[in-house]
Amino acid sequence: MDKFWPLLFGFVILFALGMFIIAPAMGWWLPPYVSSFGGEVDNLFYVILWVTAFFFVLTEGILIYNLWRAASRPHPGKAPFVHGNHKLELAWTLVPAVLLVLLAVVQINAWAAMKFQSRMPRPDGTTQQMIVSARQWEWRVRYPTPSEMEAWTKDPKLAEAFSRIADWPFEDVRQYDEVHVVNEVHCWKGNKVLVHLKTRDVLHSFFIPVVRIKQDAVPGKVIQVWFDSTEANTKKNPKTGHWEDGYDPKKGTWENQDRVWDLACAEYCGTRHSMMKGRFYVHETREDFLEWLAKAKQDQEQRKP
Amino acid sequence: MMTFARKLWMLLLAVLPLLAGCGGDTYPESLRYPLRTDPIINPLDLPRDEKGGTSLSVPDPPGTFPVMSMKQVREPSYPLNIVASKALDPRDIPTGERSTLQSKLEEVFGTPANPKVAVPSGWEASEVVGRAQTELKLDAETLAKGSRLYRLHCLHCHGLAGDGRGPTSFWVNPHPRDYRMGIYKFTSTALGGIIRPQRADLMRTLKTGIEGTAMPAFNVLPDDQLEAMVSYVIHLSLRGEVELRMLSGLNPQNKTVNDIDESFQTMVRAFTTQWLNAQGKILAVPDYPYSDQQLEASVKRGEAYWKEWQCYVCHKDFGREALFNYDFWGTLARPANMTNGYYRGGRRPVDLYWRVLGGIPPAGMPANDNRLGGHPKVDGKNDQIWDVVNFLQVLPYRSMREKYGIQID
Repeated sequence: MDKFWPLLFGFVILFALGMFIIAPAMGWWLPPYVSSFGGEVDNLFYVILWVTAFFFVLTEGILIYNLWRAASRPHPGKAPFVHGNHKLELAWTLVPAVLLVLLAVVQINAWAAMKFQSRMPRPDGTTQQMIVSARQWEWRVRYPTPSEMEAWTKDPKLAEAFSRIADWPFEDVRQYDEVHVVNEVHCWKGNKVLVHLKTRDVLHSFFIPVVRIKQDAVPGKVIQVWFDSTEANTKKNPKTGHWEDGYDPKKGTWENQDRVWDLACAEYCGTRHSMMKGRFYVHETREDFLEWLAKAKQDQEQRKP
Repeated sequence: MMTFARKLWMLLLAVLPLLAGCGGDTYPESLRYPLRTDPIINPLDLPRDEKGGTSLSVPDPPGTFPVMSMKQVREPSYPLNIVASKALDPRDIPTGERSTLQSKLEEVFGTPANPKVAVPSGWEASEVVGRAQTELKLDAETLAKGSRLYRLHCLHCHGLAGDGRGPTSFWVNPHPRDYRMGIYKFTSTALGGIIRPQRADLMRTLKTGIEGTAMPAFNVLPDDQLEAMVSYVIHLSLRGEVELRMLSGLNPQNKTVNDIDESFQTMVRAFTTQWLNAQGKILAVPDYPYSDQQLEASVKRGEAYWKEWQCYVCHKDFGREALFNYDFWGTLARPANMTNGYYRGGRRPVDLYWRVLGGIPPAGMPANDNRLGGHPKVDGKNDQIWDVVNFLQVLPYRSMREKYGIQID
């Protein structure tokens, strides 16, 4: 019954493979991406997945086969001494090395497009900017006011000045009439967003799965993150008067759970790290976003009970 | 050589952790609210210097919690040792009386898995409790939902019985709210007597969190879940206060309760009534009388009132050098730093108005409703409290201070 071990290994491996195979059908897979660079990210993901899957099956297959063969033969006595096989060793070093170098090269452009300072959208009149301050266990977001955004379209230098938050004296970082919102990141379709990411206490990570962006928030630093969205999921619900996500433009309803997009924390930050969620709202047009922003500002300036 | 049987055992052991399952999301059925054991201290006995504060410039160290046990309070070196003789130890009460009290509390307030606010129909309190089940949403179904959500989201800080002494609480400063006194800091309720919060106040705290503390915002949760959580908090609050007053009155040092049954019923009725009566009684906020052009003058007046009303005594240097005080719960808190732009009770002007006008009684912030012998001057042209609010709103921002000539350095 030494066949027990190869059988066990074989079963576990097949089970793991099986989970991967049925995952998309069960909804345990990547959500569809909405950003302009999401396609590249996903392509790389699949390339690496197939390469590793191939080698996984190959190596595990060889292992199980040999386990089975050894179990089937009578005990051979003293183990034979193998002097190694230079050709084989060369092969199984060079092939993965070449593959890895290829992968490293192939991903450079995708990484650069998402992360390099030089490739980030310029903070001019058209790029949306916001300051996201992560803290245990929520996301505090500050938006410039509608009038400030208007001023940026007329004088892009103001937008650029805004983006230099890291250089501002500490007490100038907050502005009198910014719009403070918690756990909600709003933008509009087809426009680039520049987020200035900060944290008030420990490491957090700004992660929007549907956008395929992840950026650690490091204490003491202001880190730029950019993204965009090619699809909208938010519209003002006339029944409630609130802007709600989950909006499906084709059906005209707000019940599509696939269009409720999360902002999650991807760097362990304490007890409620797994519950440190926000929501990602993409408005259909800049005007709709500005309307929401004006309303949020109004709510913030409420003077009546 | 490993026998087949042994292999099978190993396999079972490896698989066993999977059988642990995710468990339910409710408290275990057999879990009961434990009777309070931390000492009961009258807030008025807490140490204060002649100006009403303390000389502490640092809070208690991380990993500690003031007022956990009588043993702690009796330590000679402990800061609160000064109240040791006046503090009431619940364990001084005879066991029989304590278990009677616990079963009475369970009869009315249930257990964590099955919370309720319900009294037998013969009780005098049955009418108000019936009203509370609808008006304060304290029906069993809402409370059960709230209990599950509380266990998931709130328990680790606010504790099983809402004592603010959950495992995380030792490590955060300020410490989480202890619901068992039935009072809260950031209320919009009209002044006079014991101030209970509006349900809307508790909702506001849940939705926006408290910036500058460890209380996060829960606005990502749907409204019906938040309402259930508020209901459960009110339930814990009612239970906690009845327990507190009963333990206080049964204590040999302070024996005011002679008939447990009667006192218990009276207290349930009294506190439920107070909560009910507070709902809807909002502290009036006069209309904002200023235009944009009048803002500067208003801010300047607000600055003058800051000096005239001596806000700087507690909010030393605009709050930047404020010292810690003991609040009603025996924890340390300090007057807010008005220059950092964080407002714990909410950043809307109306929230600031409520804080300045109504004060924050349990934390020692006085109400400013009698500055002019009654009401702040409101004649459609000026409002002293709005002036102060405008000043406070401008204070954290250097560009605005320069614009209006406000010097803080």
